[in-house]
Amino acid sequence: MLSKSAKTVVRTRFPVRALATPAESNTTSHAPQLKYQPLSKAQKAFLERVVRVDQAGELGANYIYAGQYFVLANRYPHLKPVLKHMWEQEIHHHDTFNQLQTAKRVRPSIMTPFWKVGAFGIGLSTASLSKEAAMACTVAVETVIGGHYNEQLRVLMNQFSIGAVDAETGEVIANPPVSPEIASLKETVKQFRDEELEHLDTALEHDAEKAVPYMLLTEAIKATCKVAIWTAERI
Amino acid sequence: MLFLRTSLTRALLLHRTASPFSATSAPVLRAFYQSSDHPDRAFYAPHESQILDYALTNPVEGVPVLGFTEQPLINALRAHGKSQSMATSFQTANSAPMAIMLYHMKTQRAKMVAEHAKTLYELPHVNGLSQYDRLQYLLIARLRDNVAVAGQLQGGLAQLVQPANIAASLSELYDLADDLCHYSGDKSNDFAWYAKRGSVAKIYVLCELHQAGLPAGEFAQVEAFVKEQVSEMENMAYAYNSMEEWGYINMIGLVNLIRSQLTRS
Repeated sequence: MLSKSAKTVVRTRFPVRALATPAESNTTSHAPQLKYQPLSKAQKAFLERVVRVDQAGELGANYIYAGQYFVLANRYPHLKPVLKHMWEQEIHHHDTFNQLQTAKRVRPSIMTPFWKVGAFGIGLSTASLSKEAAMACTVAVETVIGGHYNEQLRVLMNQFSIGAVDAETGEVIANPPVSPEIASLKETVKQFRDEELEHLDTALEHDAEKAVPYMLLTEAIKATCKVAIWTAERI
Repeated sequence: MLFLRTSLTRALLLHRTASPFSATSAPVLRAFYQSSDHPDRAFYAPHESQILDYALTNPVEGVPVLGFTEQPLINALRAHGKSQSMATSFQTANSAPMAIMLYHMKTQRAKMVAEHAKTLYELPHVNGLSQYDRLQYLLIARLRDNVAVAGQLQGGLAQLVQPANIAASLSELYDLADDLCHYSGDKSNDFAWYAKRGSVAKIYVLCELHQAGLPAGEFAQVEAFVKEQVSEMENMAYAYNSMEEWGYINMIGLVNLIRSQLTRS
């Protein structure tokens, strides 16, 4: 049981309002219910690409960690919890984008079987080289993914100020807030970007730069990731 | 990261969003990402819907007596005080007969979603049924709505396979298969997504062709045909999943065998 003062602290630090979903927030406040304008074709195409490529990317990350864990978990027991933690976060990211893909009716990448085999193969082969090579692989992948999420965030921030009217009166709202759907997507991308960059730091802390040949490995994997992103965005 | 600055991103940077709201009568154009907070515009403007609906349903001078030809649209335009020359200016299709057929396909799909798919999970007898049972229910509901034009269905299908109309027909078929899969509860995230939609589209086309060859009162035969086709699809999916599971178990077994042999040596 929490003491009264502890409860006060909890209330102050985690206001219930902040935890409410956008729909709940609207029902408890006097703010008008907004009816947003439709997305343009270009905006829809962009969002479709975001969901498809991020789903494929997180699938790839999930399978890379699976391959690394398969080789390294028993060989280096001290790395087991580190890899497990990163892998579980990637599984969560993957599940989140899977749900978004089905909820938003987005076509998944047609190359999904290839991404699975390729990603598991990259994880398996780099881990087989050495634990440092596995960490160098993580550095390369997370660098590209982090940059890619940043690029998406820039577009989501700049290009999704969409007009709205009051749902009851039809009055045009000046400078309406971003719709809860886009705001939620931005938060998801931002959170995942931060977690990917944490993985990058973790890999650097675990001697990624001691991998031989570090530059060749990371640059080759980065190039592969970029080609994969380009492809998954489109097909 | 220059490679990421795609033409799409450039298009977005140049884009201005100032499009007005329009009436939201069904059906909507389903394309790309489906937003919950930014609903799509109606595919047909209200006046287009009125005219096409008259052409499709009027029992005296519409499709039920004249078939999928240009004449029902001309009659509808005349009845609404419009010039007959507008028959060639419907932007929703390449020709007047195709415009009417496409209107039939889109409105019946929207009706299936509104009247059956969205309430599917509230029906007591549907609860607990499998994805394939729900698919069968939706397919039958959709095909039953063809009964209104049953005598003219062959003419309508002939319009869909005209070379100039193939792209629009396939797009509509894709949307229908996607709706059928989505509302039957499909949560595929990989290649199964394509396999299911392809199979459902094939089943729908087969069933509709079967229906077109039967008199209007023989819908029980269509229902039986749908059940047979869905059952075949379910069996195929079961066989594939079993094979995949068998292969996976054997692969794991093989890896473990190799590891154990390497450890012993």
